[in-house]
Amino acid sequence: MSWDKEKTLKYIKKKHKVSQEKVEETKEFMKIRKAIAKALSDGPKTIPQIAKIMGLPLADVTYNVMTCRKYGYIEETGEISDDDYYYYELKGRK
Amino acid sequence: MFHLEYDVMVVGGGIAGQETALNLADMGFKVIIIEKEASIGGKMILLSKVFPTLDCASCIATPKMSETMRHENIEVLSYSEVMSIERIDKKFKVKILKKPKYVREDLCTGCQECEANCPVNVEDQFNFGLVGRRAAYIPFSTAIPKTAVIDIENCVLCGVCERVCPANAIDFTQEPETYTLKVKAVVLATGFNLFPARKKPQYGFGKFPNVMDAMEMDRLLSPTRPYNAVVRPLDGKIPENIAYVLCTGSRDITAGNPICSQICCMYSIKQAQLLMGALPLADITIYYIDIRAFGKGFEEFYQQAKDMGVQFVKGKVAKIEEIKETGNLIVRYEDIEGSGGVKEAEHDLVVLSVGMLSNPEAAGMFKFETLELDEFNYVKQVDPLLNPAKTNLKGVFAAGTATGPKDIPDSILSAGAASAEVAAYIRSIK
Repeated sequence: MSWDKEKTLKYIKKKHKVSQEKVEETKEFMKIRKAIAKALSDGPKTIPQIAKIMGLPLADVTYNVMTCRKYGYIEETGEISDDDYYYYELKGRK
Repeated sequence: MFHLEYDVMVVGGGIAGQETALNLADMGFKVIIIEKEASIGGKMILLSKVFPTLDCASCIATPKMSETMRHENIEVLSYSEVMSIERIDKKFKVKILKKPKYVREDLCTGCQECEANCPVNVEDQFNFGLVGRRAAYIPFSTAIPKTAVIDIENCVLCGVCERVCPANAIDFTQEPETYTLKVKAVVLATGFNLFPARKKPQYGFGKFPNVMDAMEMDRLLSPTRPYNAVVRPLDGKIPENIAYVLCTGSRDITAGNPICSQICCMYSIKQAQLLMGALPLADITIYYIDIRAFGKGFEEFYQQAKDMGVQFVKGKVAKIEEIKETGNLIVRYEDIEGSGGVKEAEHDLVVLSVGMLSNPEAAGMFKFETLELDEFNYVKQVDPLLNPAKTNLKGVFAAGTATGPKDIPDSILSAGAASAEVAAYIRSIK
């Protein structure tokens, strides 16, 4: 039996409107994720080092780095810097 | 198999609700649990370890959740809420609203493909906003039922979940469903609310990233933690000097909660011991006005923390300020046991030991009769010495922290009492 992989999505699209704000937030997160990946492309870094490259507030970078870690995009190397920060690096998932 | 008639409805699937349901189900009663979240487990499943034994919380909670879910005499309705309870003769007519998960629970295998591919990121409520979660998500790794739920308010309707689901379990045609049940007895196991630390603005919670509450710290110490280690939410730095502020929102008339929450001293001591294991070089200071180590093994647990090197400073913290350059915090307190006077100390992380508040939502469920609450908005125990689970409404009982602050062993004891009282009641009305 063939299965239309988006058949129920069509149903909810008729009755539920997605806010533009949610779409923008989703785009923003994807941008941040890519920016973190770019910051780590030349080797492991600590959160303050990533924040400096991205030019974003430290707390926002910590939240996003940890979220990317949760979803398997990055991982800690196990190394700790002299000023007590973990290093993070890119993982297999893109 | 879902029925429309049960012996007992338990409202709340936390540790007290599960224990009550299991006791009654083992006695042969048919029980339904109504849980508002997408998983049972309540607050205990989110904890790291329990005091004073330091047993792993999820190692205790997960088998009980599994047993609850699989018991032949228990039905669990998750993501559901009680709309109304109406007494009809010797029974209750209950209206339940089951919210749509947009995932077919009978098909979902919990593989998390939808979660892995969902592009949305919102704050993860089960990690108290320390990390994000997807719009398609499983509440937490030990969730039961381990099925996904679509957070439709944050979903962008991109359809990727439906495309990638190997079980064809995504179903956006789901609608809210209402059920009408008949039950002979009701057990309110609705738990408690954490004191919102923002209600003490002088402590800077929500303003200074390195001021966190104790539930967030328990998440950091848990095996299913949101970070890779205990690090500061500001910058991921390993903390070296951590402070605890006890009685944040307990025993505090100005915060609207004059009573002792009974758990904060001991969970703070527990966390201090766990932190000394996780961060052997860190200094831990606990600012307290009293240490209430009243339970079995509690005093020894307290002394053990002292022996491990945890510093206890008797003094009320008045204010916390942030040093902008470092994110460190200045704790201003009155030293009432040492050399005296108003003092300041610098810490690189502060944990607010927030208290318990009542969850009075059960009071709004009853039609044509009023569930009495006590002066602190907990469900009133009308006969606390002889029938501690009894409420003012015949056939309605309460278990766990619904009736007042309790730790986990006391919640389980309370559930035992509730089960016995419910069993006796049902047999008496036959």
